[in-house]
Amino acid sequence: MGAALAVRVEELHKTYGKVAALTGVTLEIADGEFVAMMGPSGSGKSTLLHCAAGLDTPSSGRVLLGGVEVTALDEPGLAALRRERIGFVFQAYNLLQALDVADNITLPLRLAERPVDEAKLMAIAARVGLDSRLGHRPAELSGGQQQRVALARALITDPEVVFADEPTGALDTRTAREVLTLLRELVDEAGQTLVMVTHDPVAASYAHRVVFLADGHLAGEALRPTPEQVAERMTQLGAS
Amino acid sequence: MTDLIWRLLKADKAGLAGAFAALFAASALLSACGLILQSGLGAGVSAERYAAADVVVSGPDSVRVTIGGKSKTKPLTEPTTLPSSLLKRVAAVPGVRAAIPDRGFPVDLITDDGGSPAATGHGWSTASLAPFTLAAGHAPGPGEVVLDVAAGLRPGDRVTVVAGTAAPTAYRVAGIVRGDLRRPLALFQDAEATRLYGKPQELDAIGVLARPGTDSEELAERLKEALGDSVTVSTGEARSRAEFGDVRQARSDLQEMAASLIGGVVVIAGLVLTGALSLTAHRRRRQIALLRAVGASSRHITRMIAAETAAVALLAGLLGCLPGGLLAALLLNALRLVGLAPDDFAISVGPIPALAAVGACLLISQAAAWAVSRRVLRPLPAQALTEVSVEPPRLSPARITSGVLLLIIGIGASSAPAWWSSVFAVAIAASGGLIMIIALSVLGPPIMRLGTRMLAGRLRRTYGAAGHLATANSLANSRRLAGTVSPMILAIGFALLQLGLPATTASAAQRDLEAGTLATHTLTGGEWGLPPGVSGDVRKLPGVRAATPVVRTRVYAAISLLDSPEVLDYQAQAVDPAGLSGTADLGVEAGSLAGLRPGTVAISRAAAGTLSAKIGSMLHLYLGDGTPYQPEVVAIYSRGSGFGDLTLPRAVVPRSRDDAVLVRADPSADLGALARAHPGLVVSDGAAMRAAQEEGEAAAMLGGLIPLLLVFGYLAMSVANALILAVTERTREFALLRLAGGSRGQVMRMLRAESVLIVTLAVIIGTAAPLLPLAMIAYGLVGLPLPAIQPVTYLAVVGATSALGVLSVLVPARIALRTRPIQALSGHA
Repeated sequence: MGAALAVRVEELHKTYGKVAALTGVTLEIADGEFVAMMGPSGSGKSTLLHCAAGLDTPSSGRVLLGGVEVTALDEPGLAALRRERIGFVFQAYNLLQALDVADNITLPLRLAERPVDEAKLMAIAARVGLDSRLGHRPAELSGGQQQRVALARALITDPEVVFADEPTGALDTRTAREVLTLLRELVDEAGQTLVMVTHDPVAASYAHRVVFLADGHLAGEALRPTPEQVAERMTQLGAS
Repeated sequence: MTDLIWRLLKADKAGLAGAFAALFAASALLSACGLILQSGLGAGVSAERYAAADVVVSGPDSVRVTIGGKSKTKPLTEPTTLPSSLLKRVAAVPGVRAAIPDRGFPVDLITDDGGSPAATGHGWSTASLAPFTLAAGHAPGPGEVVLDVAAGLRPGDRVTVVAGTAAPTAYRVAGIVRGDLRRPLALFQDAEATRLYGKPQELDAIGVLARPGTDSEELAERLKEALGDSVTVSTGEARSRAEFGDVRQARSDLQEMAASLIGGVVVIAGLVLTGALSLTAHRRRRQIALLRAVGASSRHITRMIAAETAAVALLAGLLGCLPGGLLAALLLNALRLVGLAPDDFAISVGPIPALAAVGACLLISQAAAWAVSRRVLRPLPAQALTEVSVEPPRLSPARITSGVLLLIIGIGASSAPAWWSSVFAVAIAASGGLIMIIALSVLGPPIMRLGTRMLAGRLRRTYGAAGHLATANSLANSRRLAGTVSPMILAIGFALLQLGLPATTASAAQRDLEAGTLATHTLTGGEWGLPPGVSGDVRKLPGVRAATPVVRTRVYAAISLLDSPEVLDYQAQAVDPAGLSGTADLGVEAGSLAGLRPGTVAISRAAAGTLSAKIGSMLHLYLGDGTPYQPEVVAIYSRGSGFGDLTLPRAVVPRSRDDAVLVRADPSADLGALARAHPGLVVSDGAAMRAAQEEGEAAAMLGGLIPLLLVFGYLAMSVANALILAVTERTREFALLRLAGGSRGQVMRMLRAESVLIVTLAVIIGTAAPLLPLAMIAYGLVGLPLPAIQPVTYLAVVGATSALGVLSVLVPARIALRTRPIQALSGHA
């Protein structure tokens, strides 16, 4: 790796009222890197993800995404950023129930008022294994399939970074493994940059690098992690 | 984007049902009010006696006051007259074939059984304006009269007529005219009619017949040019305004009622719709957060909400117009029933009210959509996604500041009558009540938390664990609670304010009359008032100590308000000051009624406050017929609510007959003899006077109640809407409770406890808010801060709202609980 930077977070602070969620986090994510962020509940990992992705505004500090200073953007700018350069996958309730699979996937394009490239839609749907399900409603799909739709939607705009917040949190072990394999394939085959928050050591082991957070700051990292290593670190963090 | 919005909209039909219902009802109400307004602006009834006149010239139909370049007009409701000299000028206008003067005067036809049906007397020459043709007999000669079919007489019959101010006279029926008329008619020989009219230099109207080939509109233009704007020139439908006085009054009443209703409905519809849309947006917060996370900008969301609300508004607006027509017909029928509109007053049909209603719905919807978008977009998308079910604990400082500010303004405005005795103060106090209600809904959540804490102990004791859950829910979701209680507060507060206001003024009037009436009897007549000569005769009757002839009229006062002219209308009485001290005690506080003669006026404390008048001040008044009158104030009295705000000397009001005579008589006085001598005379003693007074108040209340019922119905709908949405949204919560081991019965018990809490809070706050303005108004009127509202009325308002509230929680809850809990959980969108 060692390629250009995809995301750079500098001295990020975030407080909610009197509660400090982030206390000076600095982090760099390279292009094409798959980073997992872990930490006990309340460690600030979700806040970090939200701030990095422009879903939340930090109290202080900077976020750079592919050279653009996210923290300097106003609301329309942030919306455009989310629409054009970032993809999201959440734990659950990810899809608009009113729209079928194809419309859910192409939603960001419609919001950007960009034409829908049918060939591309088919390619991405095939990539996530849903090409035969495009006319279905989300309610007719299993949890794993819904998560694949969400992933396809995140990819449709060719984003620079995909952010995933506990993407397997609501799935059973087998389905979770399928989704994680798919995520890793995207990174390996298409060079997609991926940032994932998880609390599952097995999920984290699919990443190139695991970043640990505790009490709002970085508490170390692990390269090419195994689930056992990650679980041990987590136990230490939880005990400290 | 459009097709996307359309699909999202279709999928959330249930969520938008509330907005649809609010707009549908608003459209129905607005188009109904619009139709009433249009009817009030239109003719109402068609011309009869002027049906063949191409143009009718009549006196001014409004008072116009100009101060500093700005003008203000107020429509007159009493008949006006023209100088006779105008006749020649009208006749000289090119295109006029004939100008026929019309002089109308009261006529009572005395029947053999002692009845005295009222008719209007006119000269025979005016028959050509209708034109009337004789079904039998011939034109009237001296001592003869022509009647219409309804009189039931035949040529050659003899009939006793009390015409104008003349004594009862026997006439011979010369002929009968054809036609079904809205008012009985008596046509006399022209010279006789002029004599009975009694004002040789004046006439009521001039009917113009045009030369063949003359366009009546063009002729009307020429007449306007020739005569100036001190006269009213009418053609077509408008001619009936010059003809019928009752129509004039009804038109003005309908316009006023419709306009004030429209204003009220627009404000309330805005509030109700904002509430409905907020609840919908709350249901859809995940959807909106998700759209934003995948790149929808604030503008996208704002446009989406605006577009879907506009679509709903268009559909609801158009559909609402259909029942609107029906509603207008019902409303007009009800107004006819209570006597606010003549029985034959026609509804004016046209597309404009419907179009205006749809337009108003669109505007209201866009304003509400804008307000809701702002609220929806305030949290950052991350917050909306993560804290989905937990609401922010605190209100924003801006909301607290504006709420407190509104509350202070509301309290200040409500207290206005305490230091300012004026109609304005009453109006300010009433709007102060509404402002307080709005302030309380702005500050709703913390107030709800406070109220819940105060009631928590009692709820836990009564409902046990369910009560505990109910209070916990209410404390944690104080915003949702406030969203459901606010419409109920608005409904209760608005109804109490609207009902309490007339009740308080009526009770003040009652108090004034009881304290100020010294008369033992009141003499009244039929539609035209007292037969002539009664006031003279009653004074000669042995045992009569004092008699006061009274005319009730309207007087307009011009004042300058913030450098702009304003015309206020007042109920006034014109009395003969001689003997007044024996029949009525107006509660004179300054000056003396002894000096009441032409060129002077006595005025109530309230009116003096409004007009900033003192003893010796000169007022700018206009009498009921628009005649300017600039009197000096000689007395200020306290009992204006009961006796009228202005008291004029009888001589300045050019009405030929009195409305009543107040009599103070010894028990020995034989007032019955007077009644026998004057057919149509009604003698009432104290009890009958009170009964008549109460009847009048009841009719006035009923008239005010009809529009109120419409608005209250609308508010009731919003109450149901808010509660039903709030309950159905909680399906998932109920499912979780049941999965945790709660029975269906326990969930219902919890909801019963919550509905008790909701209703209790709504009743307490809804009662408290209008209390201050009503108490202050009562204090301003009678010096006692006791608002008057009948316990029955109060219980009806509170009971209806409470019952509706409880049903709107429990019925949808019962339906929601039919779903198996596990289905409820998995089917969550």
